[in-house]
Amino acid sequence: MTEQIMKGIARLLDSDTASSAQKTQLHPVLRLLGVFACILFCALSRNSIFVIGVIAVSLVRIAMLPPRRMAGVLRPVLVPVLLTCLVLLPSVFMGHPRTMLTVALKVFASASTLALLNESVPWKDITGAFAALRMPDIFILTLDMTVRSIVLLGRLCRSMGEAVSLRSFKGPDTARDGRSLVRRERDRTRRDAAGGLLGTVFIRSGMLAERTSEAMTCRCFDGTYRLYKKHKWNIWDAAYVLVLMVLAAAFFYTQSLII
Amino acid sequence: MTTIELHNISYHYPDGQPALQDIDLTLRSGNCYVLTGPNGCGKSSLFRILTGLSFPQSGTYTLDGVPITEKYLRDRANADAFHRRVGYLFQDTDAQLFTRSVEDEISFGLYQMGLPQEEINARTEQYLDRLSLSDLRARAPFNLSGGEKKRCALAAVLAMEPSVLIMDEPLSGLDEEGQDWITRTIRALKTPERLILIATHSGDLAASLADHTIVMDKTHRIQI
Amino acid sequence: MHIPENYLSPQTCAVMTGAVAPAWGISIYKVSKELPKEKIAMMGVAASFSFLGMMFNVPLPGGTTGHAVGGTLIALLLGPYAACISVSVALLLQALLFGDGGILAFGANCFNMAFVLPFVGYAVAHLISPSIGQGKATRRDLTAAAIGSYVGINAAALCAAIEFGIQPLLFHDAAGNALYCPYGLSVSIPAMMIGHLTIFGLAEMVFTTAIYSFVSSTSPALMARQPETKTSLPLKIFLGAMILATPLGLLAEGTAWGEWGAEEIASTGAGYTPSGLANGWSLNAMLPDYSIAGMPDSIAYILSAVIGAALLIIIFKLISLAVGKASASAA
Repeated sequence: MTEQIMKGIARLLDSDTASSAQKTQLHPVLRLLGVFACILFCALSRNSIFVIGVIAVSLVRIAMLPPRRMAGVLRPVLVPVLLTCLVLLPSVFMGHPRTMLTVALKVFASASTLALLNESVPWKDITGAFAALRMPDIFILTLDMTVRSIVLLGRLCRSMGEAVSLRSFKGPDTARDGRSLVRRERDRTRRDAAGGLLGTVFIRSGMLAERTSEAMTCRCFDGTYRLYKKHKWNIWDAAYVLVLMVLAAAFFYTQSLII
Repeated sequence: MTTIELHNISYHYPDGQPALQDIDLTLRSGNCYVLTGPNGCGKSSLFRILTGLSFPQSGTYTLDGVPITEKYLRDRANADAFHRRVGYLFQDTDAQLFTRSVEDEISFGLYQMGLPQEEINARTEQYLDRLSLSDLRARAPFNLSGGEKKRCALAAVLAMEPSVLIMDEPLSGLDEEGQDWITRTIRALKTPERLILIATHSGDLAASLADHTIVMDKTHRIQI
Repeated sequence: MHIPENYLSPQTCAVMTGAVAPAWGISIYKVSKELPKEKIAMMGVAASFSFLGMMFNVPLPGGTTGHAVGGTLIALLLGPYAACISVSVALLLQALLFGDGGILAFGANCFNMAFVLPFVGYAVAHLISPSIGQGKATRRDLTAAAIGSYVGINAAALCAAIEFGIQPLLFHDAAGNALYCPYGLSVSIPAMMIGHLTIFGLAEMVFTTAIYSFVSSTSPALMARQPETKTSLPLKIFLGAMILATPLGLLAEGTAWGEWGAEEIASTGAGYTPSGLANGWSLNAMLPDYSIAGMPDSIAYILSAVIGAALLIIIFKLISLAVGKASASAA
């Protein structure tokens, strides 16, 4: 389970370091809007043509990635698709065989669009898009601090988890009679340690939050949050708007094909 | 010219443990003061009082003759003016860095000060450059190495151009190269207008920078 | 409990987003007005805790997933409005960066986990122990936190189950195949509730109580509560009305979007009776009086909701009384 968290955090970190090399030229709000539109159209689609079209485009885009990054995109796509199939499997025997296919295809289309977004746009720009959308400052601030806190907490959990596992010794397995007693005792200690670990992590992160708020006070923070540079619109944005219009046109066209 | 005067300051923690006893201290701009003393002698409490995060139970703290009290800082405009003048580099950089990128970290305080956009951009560039952070500008602060974090935190404080600069253990957690770098940077910060106060365990830093050394002891007093 | 993409129809998603929007608005207003700025940093930490808790999830066939949320814990530590924002932020990050929970279903997920869960949990905990959050946690406070978190997460799971359980009733194609979630209420409710009434409810309870008692005993400063964010009466009425009205709105949606539904049902002929339609009203079984002959459905629904709510309050007051006596005699 800790592994799952660390993988998630690793993904955040990856997208950060990758981003320092490439500068995204498109307005992140547009990218977000594009993904949203794509997912919405897929959900609204009454036939599979549009959905399969989106999947085709996604697959082409994935195919053009270098292999290492390709794996990074495929995992977050395949896991939800398989999960969907698993969850929907009973419905096949309940007389809705097509539902599983429809929903799985749509999930594939949505998940691949989202995964490609995450692959090409660093998380900072994605959350930054919300700032550009004029979401309330307090929301943006919480968002930023949550990402930071997740990363720091993940590291803290790992180092403390390691410390606990180093300290919990293995009991003498040879003494057959005393064995279960030793093990029970050991399990109990571990359980206590785990409970204390969670609480300690919470306290430590609470202290961190307290110091952060002091650091903010020292930099004249008064409860409102003012932000961020404006993005300058450029030719790529215009091109992307065009792509979005093509997407919308494709949706309405495919919807007219089969009722 | 900036003058800080502490008179008869005593402070104890909420649980009653004493942290500072009868502190009398006068600090003047143009000087670099280095504060040393064993762990738990009250250095951090003193810094919290100087930066307006805690308030002493007795005694007075004045900045250029203006008493700094809880009531005084509750006023928005006073607090703004005060925090603009007094910059604080925390010992724990992780706690001090909270935005999504190095750039935003530096401009955060500038936005809070309500500067015009051009000024904010100019100062951000200036301090990115000055602390060699230009290549890291888009990175998330929490992903940087220890030394880079320290530089980022320092840039964020310096960009506000405070006349009083208080640093808590600026060398902690840095390798030798990083320590040298920070020491050189701090030396470059010594100007006649600026008052610098550093807490450190490093004898080297104290020797190379201090105009005056202040020593605190286990009784939470300043040794003379 | 994250509802994935394409489990809910876009129309349902729109309704749910509309339902949660006022809660967001009020929460942001309340937090920026009333939460001391020192606690704002804590909201990020709370959100990250919730985020981590939600990553330990288990798929539930016939439903979605089960996991702890920690919404009640955040509500008890920072107030329900801050909890609403924190959990929403955690959900947003999961939907955007981890593909966990749909983008379109974000509103619905927030309604369940960021609105219903913390507010219900907080209300229940306060009903049982009105003095919770003041000073060191008593046994009564901990019981209140435990029961509050348990009821909160189950209320949220029930909402989620209803939201996708009514999908086959409302949306399917000409051949009668469900377009979104294929499970009717008769499947979705047991699938969600069995897991949450047992293991995940328990997990949430342990998670909440353990951290709450740890924090209150080792770091009471974290919980030192500011002048209480009082919920004004009109707000209470408004929130209550929203909880009651949203399922109604969803059902009414069936007629609002009825053009599709009606056409398709007509076109299917006699071949297919949507199984959801047949099973959907198994809710009736829960409250037999519900289908009093001749009474319009909406009135019957509101009445049964009021009676149900009243019964719940009575039960909690009784528990509170019993627990209060027990802790008094212990002291």
